[in-house]
Amino acid sequence: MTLSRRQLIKQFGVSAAAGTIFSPKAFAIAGQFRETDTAESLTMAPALVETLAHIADHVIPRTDTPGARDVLCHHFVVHQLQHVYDKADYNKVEDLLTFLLEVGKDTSSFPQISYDTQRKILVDLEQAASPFSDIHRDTFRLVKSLIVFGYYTSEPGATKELKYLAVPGGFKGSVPLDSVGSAFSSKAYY
Amino acid sequence: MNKELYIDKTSETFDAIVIGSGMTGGWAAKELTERGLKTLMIERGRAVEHRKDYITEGKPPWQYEFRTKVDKSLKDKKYHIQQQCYAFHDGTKHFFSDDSAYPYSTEPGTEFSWIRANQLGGKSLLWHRQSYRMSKFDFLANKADGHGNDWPIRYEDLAPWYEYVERFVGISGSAEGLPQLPDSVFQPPFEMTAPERDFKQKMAKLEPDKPVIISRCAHLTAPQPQQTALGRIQCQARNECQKGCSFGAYFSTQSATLPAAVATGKLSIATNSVVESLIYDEVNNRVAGVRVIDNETLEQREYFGKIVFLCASTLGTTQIMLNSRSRRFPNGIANSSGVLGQYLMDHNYNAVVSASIDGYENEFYTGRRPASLYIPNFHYEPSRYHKDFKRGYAFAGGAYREDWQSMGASEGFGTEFKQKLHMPGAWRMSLGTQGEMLPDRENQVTLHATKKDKWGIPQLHINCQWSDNERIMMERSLDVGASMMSKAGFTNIEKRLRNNAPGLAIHEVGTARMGNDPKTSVLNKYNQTHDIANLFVTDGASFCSSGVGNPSLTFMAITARAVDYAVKAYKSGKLV
Repeated sequence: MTLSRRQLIKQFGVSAAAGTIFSPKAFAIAGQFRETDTAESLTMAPALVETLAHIADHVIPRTDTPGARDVLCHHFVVHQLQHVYDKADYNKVEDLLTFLLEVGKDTSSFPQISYDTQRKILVDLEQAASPFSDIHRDTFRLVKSLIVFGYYTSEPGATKELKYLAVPGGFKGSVPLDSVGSAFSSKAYY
Repeated sequence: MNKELYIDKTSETFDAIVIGSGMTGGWAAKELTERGLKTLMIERGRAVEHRKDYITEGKPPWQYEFRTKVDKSLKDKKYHIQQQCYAFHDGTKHFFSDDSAYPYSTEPGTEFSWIRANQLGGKSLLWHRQSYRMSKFDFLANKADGHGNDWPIRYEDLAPWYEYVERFVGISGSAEGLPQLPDSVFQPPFEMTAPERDFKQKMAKLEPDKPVIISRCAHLTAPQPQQTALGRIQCQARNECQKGCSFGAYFSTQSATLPAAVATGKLSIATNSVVESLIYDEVNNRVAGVRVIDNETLEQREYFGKIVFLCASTLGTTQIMLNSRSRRFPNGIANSSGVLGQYLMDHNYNAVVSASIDGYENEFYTGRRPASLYIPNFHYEPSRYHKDFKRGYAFAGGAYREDWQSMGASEGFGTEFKQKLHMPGAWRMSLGTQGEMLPDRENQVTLHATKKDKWGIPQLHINCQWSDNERIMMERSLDVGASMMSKAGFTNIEKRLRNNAPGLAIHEVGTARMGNDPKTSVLNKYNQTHDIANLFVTDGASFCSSGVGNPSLTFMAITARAVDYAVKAYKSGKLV
């Protein structure tokens, strides 16, 4: 019997196709998988998390300030999906990441292929170009928005890349943008 | 915690009892104690002390486990209603009620989102602080078009009390001289952004009946001595008010009315005291006190007072009254009219228009403004009604630049994408409709026949829905908002209709309405029940119509006026 990707992930906690290192903890937890409304009880396979880390690096790379991977946005995305989002969202992201792993399988898994090839794949994904579907594209938007959210609500992203005003000291309705220099990370509601 | 201030059991008979500690309860306690009455404030929830209990104030997003978002399993289990409120997040959730502990039912086919804040200070900690006087047209609306009963008061009755409370509260805003939106006593207004200023100027020429003004809010922009004396200082434009504000820059029970009442030495507070019902003295036709169930131990106790002010929130007050049954009042205390529970209203916020604004690339702003643009109701009298619906609406919103969050899912990668988010994005404007809801007898609350809460109190059963009048108003308002934006030269205009149930404006009013006729109303023109002289209701339950503006300023003014009347009557021996 051929196992689906989802079954594979659920049963072994890793993608066998990707040839990544087996995680006993992931296996143990995935084996206890229960049907619930949240993804809290799920643990994402390390290969998928590693794929997310590479995506985070493409979305917000390190420059003269830390990048999204530096502030562990890949773990943030998983954590947020597990605890704040519906299980259905978690599953969609897991499916997308699993699909991405297979896109590169002719040579090696997504994390191992070249940076430029990764970028080309991600640009195709964002455009829903072949082999990606509209569902893949929409799911990627969720992933991307979570990476961005994780980055600019991290302390380095909020305070080093943008300006965080804890106590603005008042509101000025018209100031030249070039006198401020960047956007603000701080918000009334996130 | 001041142990002399907080009491548990007592045999003392107070001059006055105030049930509730929010917007109206705080005002009632302040006014009663400042007039020399020994007053007990009863709060069903826990104590919240100014500053000390603002446990998330100033906490940046990276210090929250879920970066300000709320754990889904917790939301679904405890906050399935409260999470619908825009202000609900991980930094504010402790000021919202646990839905699992406060059940209520709704009539099949209807929904009502009942947002509650059961702690000392109530919703005064969570409110959006927008503060508007009702106009002479609002008080005449029911009489003019025949919906609901005529208000027993006119604008002129309340005007001096608006002025009185505004001087104490501190209202930021601009004097405009508009007939439909009387000016308050103002502290300086918040500034408009450059696109907002230009929009205001264009509309003044193109839509002269729709003036664009800055919103009016209960924030100190130039604190006066009576405010600084309470430890309140100028607003710092954090706009994180619902976490609590140690600056006391926005008005709340904790920042303003409570310290004023405490300073008199006449106030006692009983927290964790769930009022089960009022104790009725049939011989003297007076309320003698209240029956309370301890929030935590479920033990019963009683408090006694000579005057009782019900300020427990619109629906909280009505629930207590309905549950106060006696031989004389089998259907709820002071309910000889049978109107108690009827004519529930909210505001309808279900329409939003937004658009792109070209240009202004080097224009920006600093700080987070707790105010917005406001376009007051322009259908404020029957001759100005739209042909398709009655009453009117206001717009509230503003112009802003897109940011890292709104652009977070936009296209792009790498340093180019990072640089895009490094700068603010294009300007946009959003205007949300805030529509009046017609008073309708069918929109009502009753006590559920069998279901009770954990304190043994019958649950409230709510039967409330929008009428076609509100639905059509929302649809037509989208066209008006879009037309204004189009005339202003904005592009990419988007019209959005939501389907939120009543309740989410958190402006629930009615259900124990005022009126001149005891046969058709519960309260007289001084918020005193027609049936029982020493019982007053001064929260939103007393409203005859919703008006268009945010109601809290009127709650305050109407409470101060009622206390003034009650104390004079009390001192002349009329209430005892």
